[in-house]
Amino acid sequence: MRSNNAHFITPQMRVLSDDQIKSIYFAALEILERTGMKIDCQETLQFLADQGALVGPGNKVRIPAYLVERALKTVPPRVVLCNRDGERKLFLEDNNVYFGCNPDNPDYLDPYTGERRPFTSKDGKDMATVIDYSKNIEFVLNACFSADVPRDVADRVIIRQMMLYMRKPIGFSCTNADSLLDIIDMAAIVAGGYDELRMNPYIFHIQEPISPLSHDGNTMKEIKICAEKGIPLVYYPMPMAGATAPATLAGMLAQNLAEAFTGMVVHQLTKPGAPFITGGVASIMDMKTTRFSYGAPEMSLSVAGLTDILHYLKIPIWGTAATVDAKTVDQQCAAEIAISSLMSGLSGANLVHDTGLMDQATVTCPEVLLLADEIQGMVRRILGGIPVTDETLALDVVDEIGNGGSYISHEHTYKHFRDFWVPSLFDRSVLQKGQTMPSLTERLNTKARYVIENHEVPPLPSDKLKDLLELEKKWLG
Amino acid sequence: MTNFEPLNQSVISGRVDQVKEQTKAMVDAGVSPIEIINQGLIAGMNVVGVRFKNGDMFVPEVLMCARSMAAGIEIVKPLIADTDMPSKGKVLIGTVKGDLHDIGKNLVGMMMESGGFNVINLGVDIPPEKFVAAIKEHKPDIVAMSALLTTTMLQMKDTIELIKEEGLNVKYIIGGAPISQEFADEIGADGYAPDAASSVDLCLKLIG
Ligand code: B1M
Repeated sequence: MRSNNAHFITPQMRVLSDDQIKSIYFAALEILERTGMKIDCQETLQFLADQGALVGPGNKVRIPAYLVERALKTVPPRVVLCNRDGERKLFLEDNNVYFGCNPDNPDYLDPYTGERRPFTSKDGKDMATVIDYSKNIEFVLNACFSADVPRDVADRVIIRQMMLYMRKPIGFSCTNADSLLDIIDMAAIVAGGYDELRMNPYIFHIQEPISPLSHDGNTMKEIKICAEKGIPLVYYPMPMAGATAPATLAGMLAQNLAEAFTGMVVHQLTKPGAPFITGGVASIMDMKTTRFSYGAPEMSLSVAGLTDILHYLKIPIWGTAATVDAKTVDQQCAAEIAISSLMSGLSGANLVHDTGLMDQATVTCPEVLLLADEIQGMVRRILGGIPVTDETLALDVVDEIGNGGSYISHEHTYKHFRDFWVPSLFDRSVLQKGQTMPSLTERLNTKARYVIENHEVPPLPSDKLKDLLELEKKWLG
Repeated sequence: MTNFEPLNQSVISGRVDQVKEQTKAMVDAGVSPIEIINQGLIAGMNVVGVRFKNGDMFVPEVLMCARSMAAGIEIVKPLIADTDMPSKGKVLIGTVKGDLHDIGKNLVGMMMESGGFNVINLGVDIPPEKFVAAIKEHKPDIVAMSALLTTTMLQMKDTIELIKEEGLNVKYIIGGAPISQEFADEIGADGYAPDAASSVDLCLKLIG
């Protein structure tokens, strides 16, 4: 959703002051200069050395502050993402907030049987249909899960399912640099050519450092490909306070930023001005179970902190929300979605991913997406703020209705009541005696099946479909 | 009769300096080093293990207890011949080829160490050949493998097969988020542990 902050009506939240932001920023630069990064890629190390970084034994490189500042000068303050029809839809700039989900996961909660089982590419089609339908889910992030196809091609299969059965921008992680190139070829077919894809990006790629302070060789290759081909890159770590980062959130954010900056430096120095997005899935380790907590309040707080820092630095922001520790669509799930979505909305992270992941990112289902869609609709309404104008102050109307009258039949009401948020799932009905209301989980299930069976997604134009299926033979045989 | 209770308590509350002082005092008083380890240090750690399993303690507390125990052992170690050092066995641990997740594996390693095992941590992205070479070098009782990705799980099978081909005699145990007991059975592993604490029990069961 586009923010209205130019008119000062979008409610905004900050969790860090300007001075705190500067302290964390300088701490990140200190980590880069003092401790440095381990990068398992000789080519990248040589490249950084040529730019003035200090490369030492053990693949370690210390990155001076001026290289970060140089990258910050060229990193674009905004990235625009397009839908399948090439329409410019997501404006990752300023405080604009867009929520997105993960359609594929290791497991799936089947809405028809209630069973938890491995995710298949057929489920990918159903998820895509529900995503296309859900107004507040505005992009997807694919991984490499589909138990019914060979593991090393699952990344391209799920992306094909998304291209065929929904129209929103597609983010992805993939098996390696070769499959990254295949996916770029697929997207170029849909976008109508490589130049068109570069001008109107329909896909973006995600890659991750390995906290603490390490970066894999394959990752570096992929960063370079994205920079050179102009495919927007999201480079973000997943630090776990108390396990792979300091237990104190400020220290974790500084480390997170230093790791993200490493990718940014390589990316921007490879191709100044290439589209770059960063953030972090920064949370805590649950110290009883040792799980990475996705629903922790510390996650929402840390991501809001990163958002403040990245606003300050004018870098488009990768946020995280609506991903839960709950194992199924239950009360815990709803609470975790609500708090994290509102926090992200209020702090203005741009590309907010991970909606609908449950049980620490191991299972998803259509119902959880519909629940999040409803909650994020409420968030969107709150972000609309309270416009204050002559029309909205409505003094003439107040005077006209006067003491003890009613507004219900007034034209002003007729004109403005549509601004009210209307629930599509949450219940406000009047219960008659003896009547019972099906539970929210039951209603979600009914709706999920309805959408899967009835929502129509316009087909991909036949020439593009033909080319896509032809290209696929390269990996599907 | 030496009273080991205060030393036990110091280990249980993870007080490194206090453990060192009390251990030194016992050594000076002529208490047998082996007894200090078994009845003073390890006995304290055993209580910690039980409390953790009951959900009464947090992981960082357990690791601090383990550190205090290790600090005590450091002091008495020079007084004992290597062969007399109480060790429950040697474990070789690593994350399999293609997999870079190491937090769980490291935690399992730390817990095994605090449970009295001698642990050799190979790191991440370890191909079968490297496991084999390390077995030849370190001669462990147990090889523990970790995998967090469904795409790398099968490396466990390949690793076990190669170790068997080489005719090396070890036990294999596996773990990690996507691993299950069925998978362990399917690939012929000797055991599966869902978390760090139970992997210690599993090792004890296999070689105890
Ligand atoms: C006997 O031997 C034994 C016994 C017990 C053993 C054992 C061995 N090993 C573990 N155990 C057991 O005991 C431990 C302690 O109780 C436990 O260990 P765990 O490791 O389970 O628990 C740790 C203490 C805490 N947990 C963790 O450390 C893992 C947390 C999650 C969030 C996670 C993280 C942090 C990371 N990741 Co990744 N990551 C996820 C994870 C989500 C999840 N639900 O697990 C998972 C595992 N990752 C996944 C994926 C896909 C990936 N990750 C990748 C990268 C990363 C980071 C580098 C960013 C980071 C790892 C940092 C590091 N130093 O390890 C990529 C692959 C890189 C590679 N080649 O390995 C990438 C491909 C890209 C991506 N989507 O992020 C998913 C795997 C799905 C699958 N089944 O295949 C995933 C479930 C999240 C998701 N849905 O995307 C038990 O499993």
